[in-house]
Amino acid sequence: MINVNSHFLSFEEESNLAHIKILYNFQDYTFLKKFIDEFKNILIYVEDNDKIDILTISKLPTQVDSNSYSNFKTALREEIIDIHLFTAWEKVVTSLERLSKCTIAKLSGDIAGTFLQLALVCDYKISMPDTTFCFPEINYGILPGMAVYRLAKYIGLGCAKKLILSGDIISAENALSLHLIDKIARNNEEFLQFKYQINNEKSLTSIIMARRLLNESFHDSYEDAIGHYLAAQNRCLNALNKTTKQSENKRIIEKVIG
Amino acid sequence: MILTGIVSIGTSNPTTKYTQDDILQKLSIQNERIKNLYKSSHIRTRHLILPTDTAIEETQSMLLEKHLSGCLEIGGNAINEALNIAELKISDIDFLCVVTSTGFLAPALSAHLISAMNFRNDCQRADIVGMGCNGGLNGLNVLNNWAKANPKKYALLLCTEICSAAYVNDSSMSTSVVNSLFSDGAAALIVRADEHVNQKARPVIHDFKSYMIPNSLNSMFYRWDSEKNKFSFHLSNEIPYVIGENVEKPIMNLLDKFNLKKRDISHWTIHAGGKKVIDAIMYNLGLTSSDLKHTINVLRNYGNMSSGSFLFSFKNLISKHQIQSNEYGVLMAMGPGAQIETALIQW
Repeated sequence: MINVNSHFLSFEEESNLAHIKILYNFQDYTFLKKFIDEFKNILIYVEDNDKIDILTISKLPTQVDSNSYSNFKTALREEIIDIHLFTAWEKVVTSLERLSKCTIAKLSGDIAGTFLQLALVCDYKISMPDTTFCFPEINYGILPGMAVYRLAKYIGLGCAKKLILSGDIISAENALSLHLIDKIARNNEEFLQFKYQINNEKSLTSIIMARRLLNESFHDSYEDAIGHYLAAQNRCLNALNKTTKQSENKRIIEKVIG
Repeated sequence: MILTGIVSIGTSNPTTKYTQDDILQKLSIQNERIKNLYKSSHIRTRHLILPTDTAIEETQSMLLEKHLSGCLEIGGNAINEALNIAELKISDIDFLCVVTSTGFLAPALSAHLISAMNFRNDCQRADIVGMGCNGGLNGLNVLNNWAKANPKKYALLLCTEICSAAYVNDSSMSTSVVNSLFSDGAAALIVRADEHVNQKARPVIHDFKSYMIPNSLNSMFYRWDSEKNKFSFHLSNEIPYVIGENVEKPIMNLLDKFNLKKRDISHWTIHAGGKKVIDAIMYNLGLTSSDLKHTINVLRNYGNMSSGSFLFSFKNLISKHQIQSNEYGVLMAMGPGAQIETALIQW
């Protein structure tokens, strides 16, 4: 069990479910590097922990801070923000995107910029009804990370362009209609119900393999993709066979003992 | 601690290079299924020693002669390149290990090379014959042990394969799978062990792990075909899936020993066994096509050169000068058995 006691993150795990709650306010860039390091360490722990199947990420609900632009300018002036910070950020986002666990983003409050970039790479994005979404980076004179690459794949080039170039704030309903998110949960119980449904009904291997094939689908040729699909499908079948054998063995042992 | 370091690498191919279309034309292949097999191989070019007149069938004796002359020619060139890079003379080599599976000879290839290239008469030698595509790593394991037992002496590994001397040219899908994939190539690697490994002998070799996949003896085999009066190689279409299902075992054994994770490996040098095999490894080890770019490049530009293929990928990697000090690498090759061989290296 990893011990996380930080101003930026809290981490809990119960059975095969893990949860990262982000306490860091992304509108303050001062400690972003430190946050990245801590977040990376938790991802490494989750990756290496065979017991964990599902990782949920949520953020302490915060409102858009009217000082966020001046905070950004101060961080820029003090050289806290540089290209190395963005490199480190993209590395951690890629680690989350490639994590060998199912990832669920639980979205509430104002989801802007940096956290939205993280949420975007999760397998499932579940929002609370009053959540708002926005990519404000263009208004600051920078780019919203590799969301410029991913967003067009998820919601289409036209919608991605509008969202990123305008920096507009959109509602959860709007985000759902654009397929920026997958579902609006009316309350926490509904969110948990969804999470347990995934846990009970879905195979982790097939989620990871489908995620990878979908992410690669825009740049792979059909000839490459068919080979990748067959390799991935075989891995899914092997995982299913292994699970079936384990269940059978368990049943036999229970029968013998019982 | 005495560690073996890699001093230099040289490679060579026959001068004749063909596209897949060239080969289809040269072998007068009209069958559409076989044509598709060649075209979907993800191979652009291959080096092969093909007879001028392909209408005249090469007998087993002619093929064996081609194996010997071809191995001596490209093997010799690869050795010379490795020696030049290391600024060594042939007389500096104390141990020669030759790996091949495309012909059986006695005296073995190492004796022919020692005689033809004027190695010292007291140069020790060993031949690894019949281990197929993974043989290069078995050879490197032998070389590593010899070098550690004989510090400061130079040992040379030569993987030399004339796969065009193991061809059966009929219209069956079984032989077409082989003929559409394999090619001729040689790679020579010089190593030296020392307590204080210097920068010129990098990366160092830490360890090897092997894994023979149970119940898969018949998935790849090279046997006498009495109908054709030739040796014939067979690859089962199950191979990519069998390799994929088992590939994590030796890799985890290797990494666990050094308390490493897959993410700690900066460079993956894997045998270019074929597109489906590469896909199976990628999706079962969680690697990307960027991780395997050198392997994919070798397959695209050279085809499968059996035991030396992974060394072509290794040469490709080190030529890019994108390696940082202390970074780890994994070498991996798969072949008949079915066998998976792995090694951990560090710069």
